[in-house]
Order: sequence, then structure tokens, then C-alpha cells
Amino acid sequence: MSENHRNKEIEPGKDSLLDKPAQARRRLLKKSAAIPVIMTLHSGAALARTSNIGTPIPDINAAATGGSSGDILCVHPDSSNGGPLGDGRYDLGTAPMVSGNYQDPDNLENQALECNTRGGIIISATAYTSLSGRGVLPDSSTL
Amino acid sequence: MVEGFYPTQAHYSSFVEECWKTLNYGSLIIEEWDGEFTVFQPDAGKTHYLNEMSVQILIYIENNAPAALSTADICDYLVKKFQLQTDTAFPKQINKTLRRFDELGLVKQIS
Repeated sequence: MSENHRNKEIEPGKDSLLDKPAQARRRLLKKSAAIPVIMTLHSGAALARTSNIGTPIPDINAAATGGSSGDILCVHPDSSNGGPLGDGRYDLGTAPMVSGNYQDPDNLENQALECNTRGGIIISATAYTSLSGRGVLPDSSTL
Repeated sequence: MVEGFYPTQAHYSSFVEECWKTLNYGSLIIEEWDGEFTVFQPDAGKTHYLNEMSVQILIYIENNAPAALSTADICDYLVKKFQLQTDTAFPKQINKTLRRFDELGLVKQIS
């Protein structure tokens, strides 16, 4: 093993972020040398896929905080690996598309209707940003 | 196997004589993290966490290749290596681990 791994520094302040149960679990595992232990780690990619889920806005006005078209987004889930989950939520997939250029950019209700006509779902820009900010989805500004 | 190690060996004869070999050990990427180990298994695309004893099981079996090792052989080695008290439950635990290794494709049972 490399020295980089062995002596990996923890940034100041981050040490306190390690929760105590996790530390206790590590100690427990290290002390359990009298029995063999094997655990298969979950794939990070699989976890990322499951968190790529959004819920369409049921009430356009509730999502409209400022009245500008930037408050909602018309998102088209990636047809190859996204789509409705059957419980009202949508898996946006790995490469959803966001459509804009509404015919009536100043009217949210008309935007919602237009989005539905296009086959998209409406989610709040804030919700989308929270996903794309974690690297789960492409940045909406690049779509 | 060391004679007399298991006072009730007859009770365990159904599994302590099962033999094991490693499977694609050379492809494994093993990293030690202060006494703990991560084992990346490229064939399966999986990463496993193993403690010292689990890793020693794999290494011991591999070091004895091409000969297969019995569960009893492995238990004897581990008892000496880790200076453990003899315990009739121990072979069961080791056998369980070996079967888990088998499920994961890390070892294979030799009939």
C-alpha cells in the first residue's frame, strides 16, 4: 500500500465530521480479529442512479417564487434509462434534456401546458439544481 | 491437519474435510488500510472489505496452490497464526466464510 493512502491527511475540521457511531463500528471491526469478516461494498454508481429521482410539480403557482420562467424547468427524462416510477415520481435518467423557449414565457400555467404537450415533466429549477449540483445530472445551463 | 485439535472432530467431518483453492487470486487488487483490507475483484467489478483473518485465509490457500487446503487445515493455520483458543464453533465460522468466498468467486471448492 502506498504511503499516500496510509498517511492520508484529513482536512482540519473534517475529523469532527466523522460520526461517532461510524468510529465505534470501525473499532468493533478491528477488534473482531478472532472471526473472519467479509463485506461487499455497494457500488457508488448504483447509489447515484437511485438518487436521480424527481417529482413533477403538481401546483405550478406553488413553485413560482418570482414569476420568471427560470423557476420551473420542463425536463424530458432520458428515455434510455429514465421514466415514470409509477408512484408519481420520475427517474430522470442519466442524460435528461431541458426544453425552453416557451411561446408564452411570462405565463407559468401556459408553460406547464406547453411542457406537457411536448411530453416533458415540470420540476422546480431548485430541485433540478440540487441534483445537478451533486453531479447527478447535467447542469441545466449546458442542456 | 493437526491431530487432536478438534476434540469433537467427528461432528464436523462433513465439512472440515472440504477442500478449497483460490480462484483468480492473481487478478485481485488488495490494499491494506491499517490492518483492514479492501479487495477489488475485477472479474466481478466488486470491492470487498476483509479483516486480517479473512485476508489470511485467502493468502494461505493461495500460498499452498496448486494443492487444495481443507477447512481443517485452514482452521489449524488460523489458530496458530492468531493464537486463538480452540473452539468447536470456530471451524463452523471458517467454513461459513469459505462458502461466502465461494459465492463471491474468490475460492472454489474442490470435490
